[in-house]
Amino acid sequence: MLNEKERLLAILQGEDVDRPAVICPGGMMSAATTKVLEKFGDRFHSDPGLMAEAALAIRQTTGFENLGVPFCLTVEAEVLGSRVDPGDASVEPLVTEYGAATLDEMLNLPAPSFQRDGRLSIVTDAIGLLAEKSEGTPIIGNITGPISLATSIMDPMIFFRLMGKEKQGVHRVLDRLIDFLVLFAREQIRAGAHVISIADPSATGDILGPANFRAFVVPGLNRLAAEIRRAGAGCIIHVCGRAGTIVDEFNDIGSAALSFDSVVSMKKVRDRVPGPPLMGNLSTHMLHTNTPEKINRATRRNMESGVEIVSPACGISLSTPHENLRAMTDTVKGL
Amino acid sequence: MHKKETVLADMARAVVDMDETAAAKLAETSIELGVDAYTGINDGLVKGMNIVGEKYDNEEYFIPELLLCSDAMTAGIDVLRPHLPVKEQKVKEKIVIGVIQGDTHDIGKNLVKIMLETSGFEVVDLGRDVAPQKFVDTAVEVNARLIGLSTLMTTTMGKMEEVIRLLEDQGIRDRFRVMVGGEPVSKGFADRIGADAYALNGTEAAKTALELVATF
Repeated sequence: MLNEKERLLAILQGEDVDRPAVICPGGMMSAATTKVLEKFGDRFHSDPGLMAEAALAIRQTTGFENLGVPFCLTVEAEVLGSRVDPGDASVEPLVTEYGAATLDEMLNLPAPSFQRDGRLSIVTDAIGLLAEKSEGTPIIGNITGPISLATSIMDPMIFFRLMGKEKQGVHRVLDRLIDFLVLFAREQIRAGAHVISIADPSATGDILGPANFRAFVVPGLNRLAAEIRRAGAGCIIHVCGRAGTIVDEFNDIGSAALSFDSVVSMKKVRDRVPGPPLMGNLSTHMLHTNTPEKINRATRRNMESGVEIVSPACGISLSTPHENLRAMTDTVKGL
Repeated sequence: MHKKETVLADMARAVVDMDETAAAKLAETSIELGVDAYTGINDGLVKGMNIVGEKYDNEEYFIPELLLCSDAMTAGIDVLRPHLPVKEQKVKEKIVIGVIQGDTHDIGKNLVKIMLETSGFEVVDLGRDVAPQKFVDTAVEVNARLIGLSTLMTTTMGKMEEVIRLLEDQGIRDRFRVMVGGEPVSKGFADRIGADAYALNGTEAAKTALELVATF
């Protein structure tokens, strides 16, 4: 019998296993609900001990087969000049002020220190603490995808215009951001993360379209996934939104499991992208508002769609009832 | 050399081609040729933007293209506006829009803004993470009759309902039409909270807003 860690890592290596894994990676796709978080005061985003404790409590309460930190998508933007409202147990951290107004300003941002700046070391320290307690459970570290990071440092409406007007400059900025993301992923892996999950909610097919996605997103995700594998960890890439126009592009992204939103048919993805393991994609709206019985049935249908990893389709609502998440994880485990 | 007949088509083309400089230059040419500014806007620039809207709906154009086309249209309008006769600068229908409190995703809302402006509305954009009371206060203050609420996050949907409750509590619900939109929102949700309409996307929002104006 495989333990949770062996199963997930085998799946990410493309091996056949006994059953799908059921996870919620963390980051933008965190299962940190208000009910769990309110037990930890208001420093679970900024104190490594509390972050680790909260991650353990999430696993305990929901049954997801992983530990995942951090619980937001703002750690990187914060060390690259943006102002972040830390939120609380009922509101996720939000970028409230952008760090740069031009591509030149973005290129001139000082390189962050992994020891001193923002919450970078909070995340790696929390991973270190989890590594001591995580026997048999995979630890998933999370990074913000390059386009989402860029549009958390600069107003997306300006950045998207520049994609059309100053392609070279945009490429240079993205390359620099990816350099930093590679280093952050390596730090997390060194601290004990077994898997790195990349979420890039601003890089959707609906927003960018296939041509921009091919030019600006595919090369970056490829490089990130390759570097993460080279550093010895598994890799997951989450894609938000309708993916119909960009699905075929994923044939050019090697070595990462692919996670899609609930509007995407996993069967169709499987037909068009036969290679990588697929993860997904229970509607977060359903998880929030439906009954455990309905979630049980939806989870079964989800498993029949051929996914190797069952997970929520996107970031879940902070007020999602635990019984619903339990219904999902119990169904996959056959309990 | 441009003729009157071709300059309008060329203005539309400049918008579709995302060419801000050409749109402004052609707008000047149209004035020199004696095309009236109102015709230049409607049969040139806005016509181009309508083609852009179709391309967006057909998944030929996406957000980056849409933004640049809208910039080209605005550049042309800026040239033509001072040439509009005063009677044509009629009062526009106002709509207050914004992303509801707790959410900072505003790509969809910005798209709605562009489409509403293209359809002739004066848009008062409150931005993102906007408190329910702020929608109500602003609508009253600027004398708008339409309110548009957007969200991407299921967590914030309760705040949309609050806007409607606030209007009711202040006894001014009848003076406004409220429309809602965004990824987690549906027609059913709109009905449940007592909104007047639901719109799926930017182009729909513009059509829906025009329909709502007709209900006064």
